[in-house]
Amino acid sequence: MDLSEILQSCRGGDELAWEALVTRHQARVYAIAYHYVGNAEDARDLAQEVFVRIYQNLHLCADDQMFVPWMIRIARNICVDQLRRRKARPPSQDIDAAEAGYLQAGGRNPEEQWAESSKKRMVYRAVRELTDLNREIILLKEILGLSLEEISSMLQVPLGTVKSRSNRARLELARKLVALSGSYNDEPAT
Amino acid sequence: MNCSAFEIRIERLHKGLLTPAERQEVEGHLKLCSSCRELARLASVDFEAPLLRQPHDLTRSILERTSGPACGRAQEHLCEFVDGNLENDYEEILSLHLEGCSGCSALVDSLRELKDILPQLGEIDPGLTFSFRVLRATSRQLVKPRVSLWPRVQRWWLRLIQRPRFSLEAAYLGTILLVCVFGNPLTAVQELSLRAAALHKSERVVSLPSLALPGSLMSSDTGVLKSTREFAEDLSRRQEGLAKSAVGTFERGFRSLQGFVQAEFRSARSLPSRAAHVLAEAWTALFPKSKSAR
Repeated sequence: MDLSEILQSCRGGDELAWEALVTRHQARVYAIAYHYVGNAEDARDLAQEVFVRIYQNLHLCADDQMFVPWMIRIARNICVDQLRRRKARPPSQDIDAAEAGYLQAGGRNPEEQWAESSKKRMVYRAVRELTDLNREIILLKEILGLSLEEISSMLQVPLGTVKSRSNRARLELARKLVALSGSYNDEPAT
Repeated sequence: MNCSAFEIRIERLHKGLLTPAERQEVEGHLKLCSSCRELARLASVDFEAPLLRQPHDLTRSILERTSGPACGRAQEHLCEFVDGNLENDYEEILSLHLEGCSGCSALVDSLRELKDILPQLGEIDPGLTFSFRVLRATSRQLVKPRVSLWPRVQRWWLRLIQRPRFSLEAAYLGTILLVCVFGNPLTAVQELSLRAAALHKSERVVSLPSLALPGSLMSSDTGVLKSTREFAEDLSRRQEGLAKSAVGTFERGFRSLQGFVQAEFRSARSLPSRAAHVLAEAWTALFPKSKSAR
């Protein structure tokens, strides 16, 4: 069953189709919320709120092909509102072992899993250290895979600005990662 | 061979690419020309120079004394380089820079890693109970998804007009509306009956003008009013006569209708016995044997 059919059924009040829609997109919505708020519990609540909003406004999404960008836009708006309510962006923070569970890699053996997992943790930490705008652009473009045009319309920023910002953000992230790798490698082995 | 012809062949001479005839000519010229001998000696040193080991920071030292480090310009293009969107020529000179710049090459490695890892962060499993919690939240908030206004109005109207008492309610509302707009139509009749009762009590002749006109005008004896009153009373008498004849006509019509209905009713009462008779005749015609058997 493709997305259009699922959406059509959802609009007709089919609870089963709605469950399928939630199951199919929950990981992505949760990831967006997590990258914005940086906290598993808040991210879960926000993701839930996103789906409630989607459920209430499903009739407003006229074009089924645009459902995913529309969903991301709703998720982003809710997360930004939440951050505004907090009056400040969340501070950069290290992730603890429990919260880092999702970053477990799917490598073939434990060594590979550990290497990949530690690399992901480092990337996540570097992302958290970015400025707000750069983090948002990295999230939308590199993590969620939105096009430059979609990001431009979502952030209400000119296309050229988004493009140059995107490259700068990637470079900043790469610098952070190099710095973190250096400090990681410099740490004495325990 | 002159000096300019020698300069053209000098590179091929050191690479050993000259033909035997050309080589003979060149060697002949070198024996005669001291400046070309000096040039050939220097050129041999220059062509062998790349084979010598260069100082590792020579390029950086030169750049520091000339244009400054190229890392800034190189980093502007690193993302395009990693994405493969850079033009071939520029990719080549950037690759040359990367060979000698450990900082930029570390950034390139980092960008390549990010290109692989970042898309993997796009989905995070929120746990087994998440979808259950979402479904519970949505079902608690709304039973059905919200639909736009026009279909809701249509549905409401259909439910309304399909109610069994809708016509009665509509008539009731219409009556109330008419009364509100035009007033109570029975008020004038009510006043009329009250006035008739008052006149009857005063034992005066009850006529339509006396009912319609106020008492002060009725008791006035001016000529115009008197003639008006007489005319009205005459009119009233004529109307009364007309009404009596209409009532007589109606009564006659009603009586004839009554007689007709009674006659029809009597004939209808005899219908079952006549039908039974016809049925019995038909039975005997159809089954004569059963009659003889009896």
